[in-house]
Amino acid sequence: MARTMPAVDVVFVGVGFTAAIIARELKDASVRMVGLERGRARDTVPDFQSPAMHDELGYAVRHGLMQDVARETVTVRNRPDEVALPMRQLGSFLPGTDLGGAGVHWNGQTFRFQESDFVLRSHHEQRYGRGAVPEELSIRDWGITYADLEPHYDRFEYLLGVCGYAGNVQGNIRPGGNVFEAPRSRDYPNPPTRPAYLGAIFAKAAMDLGYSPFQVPSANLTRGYTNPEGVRLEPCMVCGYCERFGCEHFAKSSPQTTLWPVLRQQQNFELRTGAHVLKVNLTADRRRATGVTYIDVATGEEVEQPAELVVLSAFAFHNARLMLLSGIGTPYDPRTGQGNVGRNYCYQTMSSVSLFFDEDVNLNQFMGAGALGTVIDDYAGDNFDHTGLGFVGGAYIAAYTTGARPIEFHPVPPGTPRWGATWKQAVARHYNHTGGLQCHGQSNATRTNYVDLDPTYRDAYGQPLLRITFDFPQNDLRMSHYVTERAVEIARRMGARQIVANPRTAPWSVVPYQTTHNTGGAIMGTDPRETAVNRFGQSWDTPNVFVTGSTLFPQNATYNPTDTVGALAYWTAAAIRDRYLRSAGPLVPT
Amino acid sequence: MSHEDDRGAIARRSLFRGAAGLGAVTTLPAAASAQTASTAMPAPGTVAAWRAGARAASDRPRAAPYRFFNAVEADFVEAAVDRLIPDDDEWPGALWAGVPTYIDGQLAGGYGQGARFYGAGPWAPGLPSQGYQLPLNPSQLYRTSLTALLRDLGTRRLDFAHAAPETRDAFLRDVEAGRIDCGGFPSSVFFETLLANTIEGYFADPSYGGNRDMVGWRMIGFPGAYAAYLQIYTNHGMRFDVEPMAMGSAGQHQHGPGGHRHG
Amino acid sequence: MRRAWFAAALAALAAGAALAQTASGPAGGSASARAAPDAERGRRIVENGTSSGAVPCAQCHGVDGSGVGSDAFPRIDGQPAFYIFKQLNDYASGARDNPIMGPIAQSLSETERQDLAAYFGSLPFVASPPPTSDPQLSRTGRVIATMGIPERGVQGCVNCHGPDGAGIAPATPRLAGQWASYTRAQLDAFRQGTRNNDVAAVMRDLSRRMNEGDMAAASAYFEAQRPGRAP
Repeated sequence: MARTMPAVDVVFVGVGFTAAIIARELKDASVRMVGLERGRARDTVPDFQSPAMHDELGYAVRHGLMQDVARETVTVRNRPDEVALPMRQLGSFLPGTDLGGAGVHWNGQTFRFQESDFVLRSHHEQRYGRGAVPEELSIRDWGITYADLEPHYDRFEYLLGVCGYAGNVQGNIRPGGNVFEAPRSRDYPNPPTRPAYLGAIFAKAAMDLGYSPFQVPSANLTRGYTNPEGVRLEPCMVCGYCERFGCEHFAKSSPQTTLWPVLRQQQNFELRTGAHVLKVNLTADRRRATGVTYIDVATGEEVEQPAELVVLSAFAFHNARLMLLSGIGTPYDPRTGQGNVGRNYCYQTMSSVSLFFDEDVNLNQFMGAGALGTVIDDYAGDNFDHTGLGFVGGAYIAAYTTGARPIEFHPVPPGTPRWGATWKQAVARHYNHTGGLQCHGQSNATRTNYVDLDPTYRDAYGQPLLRITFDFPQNDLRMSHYVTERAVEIARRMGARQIVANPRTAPWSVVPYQTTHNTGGAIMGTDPRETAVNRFGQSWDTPNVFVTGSTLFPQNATYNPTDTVGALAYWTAAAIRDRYLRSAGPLVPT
Repeated sequence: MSHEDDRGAIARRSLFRGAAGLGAVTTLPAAASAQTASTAMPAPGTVAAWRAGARAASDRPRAAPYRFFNAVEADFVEAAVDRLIPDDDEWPGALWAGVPTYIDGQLAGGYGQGARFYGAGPWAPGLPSQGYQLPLNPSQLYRTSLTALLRDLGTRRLDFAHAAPETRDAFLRDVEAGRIDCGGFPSSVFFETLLANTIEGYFADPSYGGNRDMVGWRMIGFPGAYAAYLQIYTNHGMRFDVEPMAMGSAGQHQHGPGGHRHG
Repeated sequence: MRRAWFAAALAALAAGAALAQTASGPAGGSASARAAPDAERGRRIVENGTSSGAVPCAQCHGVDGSGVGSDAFPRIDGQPAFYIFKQLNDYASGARDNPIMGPIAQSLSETERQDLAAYFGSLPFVASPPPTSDPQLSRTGRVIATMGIPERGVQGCVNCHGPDGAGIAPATPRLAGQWASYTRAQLDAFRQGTRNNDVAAVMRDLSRRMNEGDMAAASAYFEAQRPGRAP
């Protein structure tokens, strides 16, 4: 029978960025907190030291830092009338694992969302008319505004030490930064990266076409930095082993490098690793959580952790799954349109353009860093007039130099045989003279893209896997096609000998890696019947449960989610600290 | 960096390398052209010198005992990878590089046994967008497929391991196209896995058994496991002709993914 | 009007295009406007000094760069050529402050500095037997060198300085075989800020998180290492 731990005030399920932020924000509150992490503890020293960390096979190909899908995976299908099957090996996305989660192995590309992203439906209807949003899309407003989040974006960016040059400081537009961005209260805490060769070529071509390139805001630090928590980060050495790897130099912002040194000493916070949470326990009427039940991984025992407040702070869709497994809210059913947990699952709409240069152009893409890139925002979101185009949304176009590790990167022009002598010679010829432009695009919600519990397949603990039903809406394919063509135009001015467009096509496949930007499922909003949480991330149905992460996004914007995930964590932390702990209960009347 | 004494052919002397013109303090001085060196040979310590002196294409590595492949499987795999990434005048291929040893090690180890692979049923063929759905871990996939391919070769009376390159290529194209039934699934599934593993073995760190003497990295100009370019990446377009370094260069104990536990 | 750093990036691009055109390789032949560095000329400077009065380097550093048996002068054998070049430039400009090397470097022309860099950069590390060191200190140093110091947030030295401290060409210096007292002195200088020509202030940062024992241990460990020369 389950053993019961002493009760705490706050229990976190999953200890990555969002749990670390909220726990730190509650450092002066009279609460006892425990963070339950199902994985292991790990830290820069000794776990991320090179040369062992610079093992492409072990970490990038065999996914050494990622979730082990042998124990738990997801099932996938494109449409509700198909049978979902397990994602038997990692591919399209790479959830993290262990302490720090995906915040350890991410690239560090740190973009805010636009003002319009938070009021996406009403913005489009105002600008383009009521019929502007295609019928297939179920995009919606968030219930919060960019202005609500701005101070919290600022907090998160200063926590990380993001490196960039602001294009809009309190309305003052500054060329050289992102002139399209929403206004920020102040500049970034650290100077931007210096362009790599590919980025510099791209910038010139983009400027010739009248666009406004800027350096990608980077959480690979450009200089030593002590963040407001007193934690010190170091400059990135540009080693080319960033995404999928931990950083040996304390130079990539992660929970370990930004918060853990102070959090581990915080008196009112206890980390418990090897604690795999099965579910949130609820009262019979499901209006209140009493705590969680977890498996002690070391012993296999079932343990009950009573708590006054439960924070679901696992990766993205894991939080939606926990809600479904626990009976929080009502599962969404696309046939009826009813239910508030599971809807509006979205992803990221990616495409690219490959550029094959002459042999005298040494791109040296292996001298890379995760967020080392030059980007234009001219075709992101609604930054351009969509009148008559027949789609909503956009993508940023970036020339990244994140590394060029050979198992994953050995480009050859189309028509090259896939193996043999000719292939081999082509690999040698093109490896150091090939780069790409990435179109990183918005992912809009539809009524049939959602998550629920799979009826057939289970995890190692016997619990149903999460089932993901997703395909790219036609709208998003049209958007991607359009922006890819704009990228080709820029590519043509970059001096390459050959350009190859790689547009996004349907159906979404789980096989090739795209991004780990899985969003939605426990979305935020103003309607308790249709959304899982209110504007503070508080469950409508079970008010002493708060939810964090990209699962809150009603749809995914053009940009990488992490900056917005961090900002929302600070926003939720403030709501818990300043309002909920003073007077527990729904923060938004239902 | 390999220890020169052990490897023999890698010269100690290295002329100054690195490209870039003269200019500000932080740019690199001009490369010493191999042709302006005092001899007509490729500049010692460069990749060119390694290619010229280090080995002959016919120099097969000393065969390590295979832990997974039996003798006929090994013969096939060796002869197959020899065509997937062949030797040529410029660079040794997968066979010289030890790729069969790499694949064998992978299949005998966690990867082959289905680590990080969701192996629970029920099983269904699924759509291509749902990925691999066979109830076979990599080692089972290889064994099942190789059995079928070897039987097919027997029917064709083709001694694959000793066949001419063109003949082997033709058979591999059949395998690639899925023309051979491997027991309920087309041979293309096996081919894709073999090709992927071959490329892994050619480019992974040599400590995994392939990429012998970092040949794959030398071929493309990839520096390997030790990397820090903050000071030089802004020298746009520089020629970076530096011999690679592998994880094992230091000869010290290293732990791999998932191998370290504490806390 | 573009922000200065972006314009600088474009200038780097323009310079890079020029670099790509002038960089010579084995097949291309040299199109550069001035002579390539000459290790042979460099050796003559090492042995004889220069007409502008620079003392022969050999007097303090040995003809082969392995020093003259005294830890008063660093070994410079096994160092990447670019690192030698950069230090000479830094000595000359004052970016690295040293009363002996400053005037010497200033008296060298840029071509002479290149030639010296080419010469020293071509030398193997002279595999003299390491001095006796405290084995306990060396063991502690090995942990710091390869794994770092977790409680002080210091990563392992080999991350940047290469296997066994062999260095990573072109820019990261070799530590292996260097006199422990010299390495110690450099760490102290970084810590105090009297040496500040390290990229992005990394060494200043790290050294300030090392204590005396850490520095002694790491220095002793590297002094005893004898890896082959980094490429």
